[in-house]
Amino acid sequence: MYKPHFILLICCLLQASISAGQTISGFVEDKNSGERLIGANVFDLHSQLGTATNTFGFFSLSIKAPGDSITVIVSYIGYERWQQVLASDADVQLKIQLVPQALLADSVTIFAEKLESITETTAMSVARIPVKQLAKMPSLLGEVDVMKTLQLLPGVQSGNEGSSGMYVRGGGPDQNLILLDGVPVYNASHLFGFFSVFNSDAIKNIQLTKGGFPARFGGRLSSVIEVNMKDGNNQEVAAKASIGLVASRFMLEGPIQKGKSSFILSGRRTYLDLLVRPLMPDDEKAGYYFADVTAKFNHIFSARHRLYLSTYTGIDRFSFESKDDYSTNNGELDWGNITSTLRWNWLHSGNLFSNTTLMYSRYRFEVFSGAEELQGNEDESYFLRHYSGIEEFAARIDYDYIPSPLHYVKFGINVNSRSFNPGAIQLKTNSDNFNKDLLLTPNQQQNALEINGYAEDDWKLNSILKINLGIHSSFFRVGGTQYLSVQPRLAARALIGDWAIKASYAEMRQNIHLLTNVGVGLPTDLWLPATEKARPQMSRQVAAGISRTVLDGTVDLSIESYYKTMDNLIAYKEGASFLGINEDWQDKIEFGEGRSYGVELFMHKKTGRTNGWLGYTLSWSDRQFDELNFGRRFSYRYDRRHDLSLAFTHQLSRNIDLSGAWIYGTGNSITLPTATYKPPEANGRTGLEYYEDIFYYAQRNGIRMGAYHRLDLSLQYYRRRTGGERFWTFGLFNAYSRRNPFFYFRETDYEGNRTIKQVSLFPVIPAISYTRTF
Amino acid sequence: MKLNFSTTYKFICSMLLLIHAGFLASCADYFEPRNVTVSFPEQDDMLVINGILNPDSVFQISVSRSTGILKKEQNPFIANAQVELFESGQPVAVLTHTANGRYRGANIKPRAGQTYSIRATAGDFGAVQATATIPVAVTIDSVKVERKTNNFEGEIEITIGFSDPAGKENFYHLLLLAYENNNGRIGGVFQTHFSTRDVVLKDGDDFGTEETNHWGEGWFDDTLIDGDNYSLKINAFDYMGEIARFKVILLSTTEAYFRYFSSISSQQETDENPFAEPVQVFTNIQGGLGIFTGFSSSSAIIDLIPGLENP
Repeated sequence: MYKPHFILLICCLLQASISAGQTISGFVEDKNSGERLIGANVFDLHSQLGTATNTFGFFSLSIKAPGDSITVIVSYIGYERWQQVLASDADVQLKIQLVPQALLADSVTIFAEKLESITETTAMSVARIPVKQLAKMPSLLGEVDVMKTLQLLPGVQSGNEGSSGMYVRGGGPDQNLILLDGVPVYNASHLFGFFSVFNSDAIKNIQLTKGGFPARFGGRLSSVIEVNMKDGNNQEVAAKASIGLVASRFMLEGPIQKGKSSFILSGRRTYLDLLVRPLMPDDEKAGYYFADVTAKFNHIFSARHRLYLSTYTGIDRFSFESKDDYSTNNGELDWGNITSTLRWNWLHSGNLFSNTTLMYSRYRFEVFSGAEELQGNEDESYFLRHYSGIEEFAARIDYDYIPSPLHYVKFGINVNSRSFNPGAIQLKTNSDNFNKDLLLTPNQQQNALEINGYAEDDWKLNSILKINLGIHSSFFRVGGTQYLSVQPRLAARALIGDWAIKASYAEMRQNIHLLTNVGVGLPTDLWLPATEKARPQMSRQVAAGISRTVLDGTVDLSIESYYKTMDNLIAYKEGASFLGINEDWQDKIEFGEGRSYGVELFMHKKTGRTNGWLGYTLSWSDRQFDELNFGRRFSYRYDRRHDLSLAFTHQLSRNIDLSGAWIYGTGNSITLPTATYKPPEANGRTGLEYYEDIFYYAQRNGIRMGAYHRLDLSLQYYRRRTGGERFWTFGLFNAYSRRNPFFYFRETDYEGNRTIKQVSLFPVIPAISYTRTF
Repeated sequence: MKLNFSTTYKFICSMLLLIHAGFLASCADYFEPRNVTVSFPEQDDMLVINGILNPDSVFQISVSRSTGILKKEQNPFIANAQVELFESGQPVAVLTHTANGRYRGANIKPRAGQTYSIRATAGDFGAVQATATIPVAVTIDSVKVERKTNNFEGEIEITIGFSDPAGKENFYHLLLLAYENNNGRIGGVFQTHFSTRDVVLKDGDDFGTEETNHWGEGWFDDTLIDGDNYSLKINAFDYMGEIARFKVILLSTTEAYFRYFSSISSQQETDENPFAEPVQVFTNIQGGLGIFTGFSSSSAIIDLIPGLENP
C-alpha cells in the first residue's frame, strides 16, 4: 500500500540529484562568541533563492548565476544583516560571522526575514521562540521556564495549575518528544512539574513542532520540542550568575583554544532546604531541593569536522529523618535525568553534510524508607525501596543533501536500545521473621530495540508550490514481538498573492507508553514499551491553514485547523493506580482510541517597542475505551474548548522592559460523583453486608472545573557597567490573585451536609531576581 | 548610600529570607481548601432498584431514590412505588410494599432458568425496567480438605470440585464462611479470609507470594475452564484453632451480577485512594440505577471438629 510513496520519493531523489551550477556553503555564527546560529537566512539577491542554516549552523545554496557575480545576504534574529558580493565562477565555502545588535537597542527583531517568513516555508504548526524573548517573559517565582512559555502558544495546553506538562493538540504528555541536543528527555520537570529541567542560561534555541511533521521526526504522536544548548563562547571567557527566590544559577563559558574549542558549564540549585534546615530540631529534619548541571564541550578539527560533547544531569530529592532514643526513621524520594551526547559534524562537500550522534539518556525514580529500632539488646532494621525508570542508548546518522536550490533532501537512520523498568520493590531486613533481602515484586525489566530510517525532500516545484515529501519507517522489537511501520509525511504550501495556503498529513507511531494516573503529574508515572498486548500508539493528523504577514510585515498571522486520530492509547483500569504492587502493569491497563480537532489563531507582532503575540485555540478532544465509561466516548481530561494567551513585551525606556502574559482556558474535565445511592440490602449469602452507599459517576470526566485565568507581569531593569551587565527582575505571578482550581474533593460534615471543595495553589506571588554577567 | 560588594549581597540574602518567609506564610493560609462557588451540576434524583433473586427466597426487591451529591443525606426508600413482575414477558404479580422500600411477592419464588422482568414507577420518576434470567445452579460435586500441619498459621487447603456447563459463559461467586467453636457448639458465622494460587481466582501476586488474598469471597468466570470438571483450590486459615466449621458456597450468577459486584467492590476498595482511577458502578436498570439479577447456589459443609451441636 505504500508503494506509491516510495516511487514518488525515488523520483524526488532522482530529480534532486541533478546538481546546479555554483554552490555557496558554510556556517553562520555569532562574531563575538563563535556560537553557531540555527535558522539563519541565507539569500541570493539576484536569483531570489535562499535557504536557512540547520541545527549546526550549516547552509548550502546552489545557484545557476545569471551574471558573473552573486550577492549573498545573511540575516538572523537580533543580528545585523550581512551582505557580500561574490564571484560566480566557483564553489565557495564561507564562515559568516554576524554581529549582534546591541542588547539595549531600541527594538529587537523577533523573527527573521523573508526566507523564514511564515509564508515562505512549507513547515506548518511550527513555533520557534527566541531565547532573548523567553528571558523576558514573566515566570513563576522568577524561574524562567521554557516549557511554560511554550504553553502560551496556540494548540499547546498546560495541565494543572503551575505544571510544566504540555498537552499538544489533545495528546498526552508522553506524546511529546523532548530533545535536549538531540537526546530524549523522559521527565522534563522538577518539583512535581512546577519547573522544567531546562536552565535557560544554557539554551540557544527552542523549536516546537506540533503537526505537519517532516519525516526526520518520529517516535511520538503529538509534538517535537527541540532544545539546543549553547556551544560555549570560543572567543573569550564569559560568565553569568543569578540569584532568585527559588534557585541560584551560574553559567561559565569560554575558549579552550581560541576559535577552535570551547566549553560551557551551567548549574542551578534551589536552596530553601539549606536556609530552613538549621532551624529544624535535631530529631526531625526534612528538606527538598532540585539541582541540575549542563556541560558542553566542542572542538573544531578543521573546516569540515567538528565534535560536540554535551551532558545534562538533574535531580530532585525530598528527604526526611526523625529519631528518638529507641528508633531512627528516614526516607528519600529521588528522581532525575541524565543525558549525554557525542556529535560529529562532517562537511563532506559543499552540498552534503552529515551529523553522527551517540547518545545516552536515563530517567530514574526511587523512593526508599528505612528504620532502625532497638529491640532489647539488638538492633532491628528494615529498608524498603521502590524504583522504576527507563534507560536508552542510541546511535544515529543524519545527512543534509542540497543538490539545488529547489531541493533540500534529508535522510538518516538511528538505532536505539531501551531498557524499561516499570517498578520493583525491595525489602531488606535483619528481622528473624523475614527473608533478609526480598524482592517483593518481580523486576519486570524489559529491553527493546528500535531502528528508524527516514528520507524527505523539501521541493520547490515552482514559484507558487512547494512541498515537503517524506517517509519515516520504524522497526521495533520487544521480547518476541516485532512491529514494522511505514509512516508517510506530506506538507505543501501554495502562494496565492500575499497569502500562503498550507496543508499537511502525517502518520506517526509511538513505540513507548507512559502509564499515568489521572490528574496526578507525579514522577511515579511509568514509561513502558509497546508489547504484544499494549500495541504501539498511532496517530494520523491532517492540518490545513492560511498565513500571511500584515502591517508592513511586522505581524505574522496564521489560522490553522487540524483533525487528529490516535489509536492504541492506554489508561489505567478503573480502580487501578501505580500503588498496586501485586500486578503486572499490563493487567492494570485498558486500550482505546482518541481524537482531537480544532482551530488555532496566531498573531505575532515581531518588531517595535511593543511586541508579542495573541494565540487562541478552539478545540475538542475525547477518548473511547471499551472498558471505561461503559464504552461511551468521554472528554479527555484536558479537553479545553477555549484557550487564549496574550503575551507582550514593551520597552518602557532604554533600561526598562515591561512584559506580561494573560491566559484564559476552559476548566479541566474531571470525574466526580453527582449522586449517591443504596446498594442491595445486606445478605449473608451474597456478601453484601460490607458495602456502603454507592457513588454515581454519570460520566467519566463529566464535570468541568472552573475556568482558569491568570495575569503575570514582569519588570526588568538593566544597566551596563564596567565588566558586565546587571539585571534586576521583578515579577508578579497571578497578579490579580485569581483562585484557580487545582483539584476538587468531597466532604461531609458531622450533620450530614455534603459539599464539594476546591483547593487552589498559587495566590499572587511576587518574584525578584538579580543577574549579573561578567 | 553607596553599597560595597559584600553589603549588597548581605542585603540580597536578607531580602530573600524575608520574602521566602512571607511566601510560605501566605501559602500556608492559601492552601486551605475553599468551598467551591462555581456551578456544580445538580443531578436529578433517580429511581434505584435492587433485586437479587434466587430460587430459595420469595421475590423481593427494594426501591429507593438516589441523592444528589450536594444534598443532605435523607431517607431514600420509597414506599409508594408500583412494581410489576413479569415472567417470560407475562405479568405474574404486583409486588407489595412491606417496609423500608422493600417490595415482596407473597409466596412466589423465582425458578432457575426462567427470565423475569420488572417495571417500576413512583411519583414523578419515569418508569424503570430491567430483565434477568436466573441461572441454574452448578453444584459442588466434591470437597477435599487437607490441613497443612507444618504451618503455624493453621493453613487448610480446600479443593472444590464442580462441572462447568460447556458452551456458554458462566459466572461464579465463591463465598467462604467460618463458624466458631463456641464451647462445644457451633457458634457465630463470618466470612473468612482465604488465599489462592488457582488461575481462575488469582488476581496478581500479593507481596511476591505468588498468591492472591480474598476476604471471604471471590468472583470468577469460566474463560479458562469452559466445560471442564474443575477442582478449584483455596487455602483457608484457622489461625487460633477456634474454627469449628467452614461452609463453601458456590453461587452461579449472571454477567450483570459479576459486573455489578466487581465494580461496587472495586469502588469501595479504592474510593479513599487519591491516586486510583474512579470506578463507575455497573447497572442494568433502564432509566434508573441499581441491579436486577439472580443466582442459584450450591454449598458444602466442612466440619473441622466433628460432632458439635448446631446452634
